[in-house]
Amino acid sequence: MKVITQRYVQMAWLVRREIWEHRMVVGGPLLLAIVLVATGLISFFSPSHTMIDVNGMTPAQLLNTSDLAPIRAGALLFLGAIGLLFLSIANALQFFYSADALFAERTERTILFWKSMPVSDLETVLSKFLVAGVVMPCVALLAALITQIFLAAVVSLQFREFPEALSVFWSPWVWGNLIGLSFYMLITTMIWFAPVIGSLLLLSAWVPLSGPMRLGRSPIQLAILISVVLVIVEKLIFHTTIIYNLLIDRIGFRGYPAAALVNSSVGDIPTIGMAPMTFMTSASVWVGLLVAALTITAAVYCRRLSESRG
Amino acid sequence: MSPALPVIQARSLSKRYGDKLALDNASFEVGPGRIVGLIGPNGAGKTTAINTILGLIPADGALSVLGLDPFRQRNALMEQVCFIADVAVLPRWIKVNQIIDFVRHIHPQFRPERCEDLMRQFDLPRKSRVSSLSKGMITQLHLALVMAIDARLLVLDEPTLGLDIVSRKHFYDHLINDYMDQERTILVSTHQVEEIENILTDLLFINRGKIVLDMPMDELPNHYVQLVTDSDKAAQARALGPIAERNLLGRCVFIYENADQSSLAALGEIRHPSVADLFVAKMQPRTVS
Repeated sequence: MKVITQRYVQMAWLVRREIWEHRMVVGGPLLLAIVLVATGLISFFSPSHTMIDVNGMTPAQLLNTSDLAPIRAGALLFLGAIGLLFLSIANALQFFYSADALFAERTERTILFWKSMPVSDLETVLSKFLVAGVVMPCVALLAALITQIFLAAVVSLQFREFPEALSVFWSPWVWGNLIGLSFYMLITTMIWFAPVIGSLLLLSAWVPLSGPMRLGRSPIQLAILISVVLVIVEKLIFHTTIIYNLLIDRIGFRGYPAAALVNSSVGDIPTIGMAPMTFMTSASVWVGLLVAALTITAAVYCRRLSESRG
Repeated sequence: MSPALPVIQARSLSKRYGDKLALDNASFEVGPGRIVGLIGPNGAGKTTAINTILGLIPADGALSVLGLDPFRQRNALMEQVCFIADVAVLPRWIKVNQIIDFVRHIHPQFRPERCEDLMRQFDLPRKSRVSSLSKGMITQLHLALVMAIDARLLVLDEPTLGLDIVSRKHFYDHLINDYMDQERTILVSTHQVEEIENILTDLLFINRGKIVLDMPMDELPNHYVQLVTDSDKAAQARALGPIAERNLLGRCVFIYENADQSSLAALGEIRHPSVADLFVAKMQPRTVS
């Protein structure tokens, strides 16, 4: 029991160490939150905010209605878009972090210090995977939630003369759906991007510090270069686009199993519905998890032999 | 493990990098409570030997460190072994108090109160980042972290490389006065042989991956002598089979291995060679400078 507790404590400190080193883990979402909140405040104090029209109607005309359904859906869309923006930024940061996580410690030679601690390569790689795959999206979601509440408050103050519309804006339906969808997106994107994070960690652990494969300045540049070369070579030689489609399906979200399941819409804009069973029974999800497991194992192996490879 | 058993036991250790044999059937033992100097020229295989002992790389042959297989049981080994690979390996982005907190929570053998004592002695700024410390201060920080760990084996690979002479002296003074006891063993690899020869209990010379000398310091005078003689007796001295010779201010200096000291005494002045002289003799035998 003591050993298990010690392992948890070690893992927590390994994660903490990563957050110390990569300040963008918290700083990225925080910066976005500050920008959005500042924009909200500027909008609130700007005299021109009442001039914004939607479909030829002023906000006052839109809100002064007895049909509250569009307001409810609009509120969800507005707040959901903020959440998606945070998750998208988190995804980009995840990729940059993963590509650097096992590379920087080799270029700076700090790996020799970390390896002087009684921490296995598996624990180290898993801590980096946890930061990229779990901590970063969770921090982004938390920052998104605080921003959403703040901006909702700003909107409420702006349109305080329409209490009926505002009661819908703060209704349990809107916030229940928002939080439910956010957590659903958080969990599913964690699973969805696991193979991408695993592959970037592997690249980060594998890229030689010198020699012909030391292309570009960082593994993320090498990842882009390898992807482009593979797509071009496949197209030229086999006249197929399998690799291109795989990349677009995964990174471009085209193959995301829940994306096709639209169960509500606002105007012409579809919203993503929650379909956990469809998601978890999708072959692409399980193949992705298998790739994640394989790439993480290979990253552990590369880090284990990093001193042999130079 | 019984205290009498060797801390490190290597048998026919070999490691190849492509065409180059970095370790060539190296066999040696290090007992508990010893301070062993692993000395060799650049590219001799020192770092490969150390990396193998630390389980950082696999090697052919049999190797046991504190009764463990270093490569397969590295995690367990690192609970009892500390190492300083280089003074420049501490992360530059981390703050002094962060790295102390980190090691305290990660290493089960870390003694915070001992670290606190050392930090007070060294007077290091707690809130500064490592990047803002001088090289000497970084070494002191690394030493404080390592000395606060109750490890049975401390491995140092060129620990004072790039430091000024004052920092180097302080490093070894602290190591001997505040760290070393009968339970601990230190394996140190360095180029600055003169600075550590007074603290060593054993010598391990390595050249081209082979162990060329493995001997306790107190046995050196029984096996190696230096003869300083005039040039007219050089031919006689040479006939007694020195392992190295050189000229020094018009006189001839010979180093002998297992020679009859009474025969040598008739030819000139007998001295004990320094570790540096012996090192040169074993690395470049029979050369004249």
